[in-house]
Amino acid sequence: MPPAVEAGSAHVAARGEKWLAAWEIASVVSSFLIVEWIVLPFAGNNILAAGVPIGLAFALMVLSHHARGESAREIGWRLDNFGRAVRLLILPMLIASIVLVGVGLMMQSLRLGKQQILEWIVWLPLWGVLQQYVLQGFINRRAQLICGKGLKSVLLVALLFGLLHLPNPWLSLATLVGGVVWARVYQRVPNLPALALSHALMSMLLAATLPATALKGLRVGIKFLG
Amino acid sequence: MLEISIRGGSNVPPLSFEASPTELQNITGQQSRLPQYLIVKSILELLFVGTLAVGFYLTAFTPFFRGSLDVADARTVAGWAVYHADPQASVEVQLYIDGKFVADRTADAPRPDVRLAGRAEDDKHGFIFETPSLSPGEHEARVFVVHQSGGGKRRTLQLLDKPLVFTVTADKPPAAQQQTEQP
Repeated sequence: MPPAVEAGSAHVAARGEKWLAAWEIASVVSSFLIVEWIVLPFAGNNILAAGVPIGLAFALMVLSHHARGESAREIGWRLDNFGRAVRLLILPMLIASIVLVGVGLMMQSLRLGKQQILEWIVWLPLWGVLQQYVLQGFINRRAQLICGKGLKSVLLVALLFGLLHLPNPWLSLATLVGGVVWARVYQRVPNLPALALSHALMSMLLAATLPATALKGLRVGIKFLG
Repeated sequence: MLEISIRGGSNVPPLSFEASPTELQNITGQQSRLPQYLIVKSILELLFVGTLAVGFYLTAFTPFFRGSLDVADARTVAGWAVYHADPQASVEVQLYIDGKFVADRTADAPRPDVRLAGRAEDDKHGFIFETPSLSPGEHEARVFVVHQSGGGKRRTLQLLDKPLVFTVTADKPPAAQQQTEQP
């Protein structure tokens, strides 16, 4: 490919590329909003009904990775940089833990049941993997195509993460802050297992420290409203 | 093998490929399908949400009940209600006067006339509410039937018959102003 032609077409492609990436993000986010705000009130806890938009979102993400030629390794499904990612995560996690335990002590809302911990250990890592894959492996990568690597794309990812947890105020705030940290770490060291682990641990800590009445069982969307 | 880095601006991260020209052509070709994938997904989601909305309407809001609000005055509000899907079941009814909830009860008072008219399979479909003390003047009585759907998780109210307007006078209880459908 002659360099001159490539440079010119790259500029045009970048413009279309941004729109396409924005469309992809909007499409995936809308699928989750549909589940939170439409499926749950209309279809109750029907897993099959909730599975339709979620399935479509995951199908789109897989097709998009394939279409863009993104490998699993590029997305962050790898272990070679796990240690580096963990090292970046430790300090913010430590600070967040101190803050959460402090709030829990102040509000006398610390609670840790053995049964609850066992339940969390089973499903929170899985939940963390799925959320971090969508958030970083897909949305963050597309956000970087729109705003570039750095603060803007990190904030975009964090805002979308917070938006998906509305109208739960505590959870939205926590995911906004967590979103900034995780998106920044992902941009520096793309490793999904480390982020998933961090996500699971922080979710557990959040649920065990903040008042249950404030968190409302980590409910989001229409479920939060009762 | 070609190693190509496409940069769309100073703040756009490079999209790096390490691919043969054929592979690169394939990737570009695949990427052009992305808008198609997005459109198909949007259409499928739209159909899904539309189906969900229609299904919700059909299970929660279509008229499932037949009945009548026969009388409303300063003493009583009475009528009958039958559930189409289960004509032997006694349904729950709620009385609202001037838009405010007054009471609820099961419509299981004897109404042999309803059965004789072929509207129910047994007698137990009537309801009688005692009218609470009201200020003199015009009042409106509405009776709603409680409909459960979504495995009992969802409860919707369906208006039974037309609202009845009645007058309460200071000295003596008035008669009902309106009589509706008789079974």
